[in-house]
Amino acid sequence: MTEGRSSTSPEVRFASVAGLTVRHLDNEAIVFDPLSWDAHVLNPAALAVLELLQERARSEAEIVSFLLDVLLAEEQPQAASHARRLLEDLKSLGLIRSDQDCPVANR
Amino acid sequence: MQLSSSGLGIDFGAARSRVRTSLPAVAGMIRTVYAGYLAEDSEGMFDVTVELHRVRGLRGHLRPQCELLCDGVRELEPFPLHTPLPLLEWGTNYVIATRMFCFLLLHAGVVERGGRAIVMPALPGSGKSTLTAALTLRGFRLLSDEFGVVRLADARLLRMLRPLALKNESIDVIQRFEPSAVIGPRFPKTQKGTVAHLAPQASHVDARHEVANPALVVFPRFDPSAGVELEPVQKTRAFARLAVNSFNYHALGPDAFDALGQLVHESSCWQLRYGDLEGAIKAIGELLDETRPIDGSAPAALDSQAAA
Repeated sequence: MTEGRSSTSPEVRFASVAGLTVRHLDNEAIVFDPLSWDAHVLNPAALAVLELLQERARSEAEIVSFLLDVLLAEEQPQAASHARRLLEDLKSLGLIRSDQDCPVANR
Repeated sequence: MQLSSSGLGIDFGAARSRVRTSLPAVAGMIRTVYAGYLAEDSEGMFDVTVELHRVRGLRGHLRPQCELLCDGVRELEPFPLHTPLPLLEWGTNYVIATRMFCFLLLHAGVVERGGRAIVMPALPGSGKSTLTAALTLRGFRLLSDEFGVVRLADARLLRMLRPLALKNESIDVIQRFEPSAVIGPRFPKTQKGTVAHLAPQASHVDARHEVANPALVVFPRFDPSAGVELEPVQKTRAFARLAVNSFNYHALGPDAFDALGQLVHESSCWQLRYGDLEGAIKAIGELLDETRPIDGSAPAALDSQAAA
């Protein structure tokens, strides 16, 4: 993906897949996927985004806005690229999906 | 005798085994390394039934070998006839690791003191068995040299109390470390070099049905150039390493995830690099003393050690 360009249209929304088990260990977490039986280690940023998407479906812009609130000032210029990378990583692990993947699932 | 007829029952704690053999030499070996165990009859339920016999036929005459049958099936290649005890021990480990799915089985040495367990997962050659053996000879009680047996319902640790398999230099290291240690016969030229078995102490055998609470996870690595070095390990990393090192984590799915997550949550996790056995034991004892149960807060001494 090209840095600085969004891969998704603004209206695409992301949501956590159902049934994940999240266990917090210190400031990180392990997540169990009931479909694949895989467990994943999430760093604090990925965990925060996943938990946000467990509340309800959100757009990439909303994730960027969330990161702008929690990142340090010097990190804020990279908020958009952080958000995209986190969403890509969580999606590649099968922990979230977009309404492009499953148009009905996130409504 | 019982071994050659109905069999001898051995209670390891989390599992019971029935052993039969037609090899006369095995009885003496079992008497040495299972000295603290009460002879049990062969009635009732057993998790493992193994039989040791001499391989028959022409091959058995050309190259005398012994074979192990697990519930009547030969699942391992025969061993040279003069190494029946290593075959019995490794074969029993194999059967436990491949057939017991009522517990999460970690590949780890486990000891406890005061009911608080130290789980030591490690790859072969890391010095796990040597460290486990040495700890049991300095006041820690053995749960297992090979299996961290985790109860799925509550992540308590059960005992799979068996003789400790010492290999190569470790045999003399442990014999020098504690001259009174009861070590069985040496078996040279096995697949893992020379092997001998340290008999568990009678008081440890007597406690084989007690459970222990998880307290420490220590990943040991023997390094002759090191003194004693401890580094904290992130719990999520410890979880991943324990899962990879488990015999049946992937087969148990969500139950294993929950139990292992609970175990790691309740444990303080460390990497130990050691070249000095006494120093390593002292450091582990201090870590255990400084680590409070999960409902209490970690004392300052632990934090400063982590920072160091």
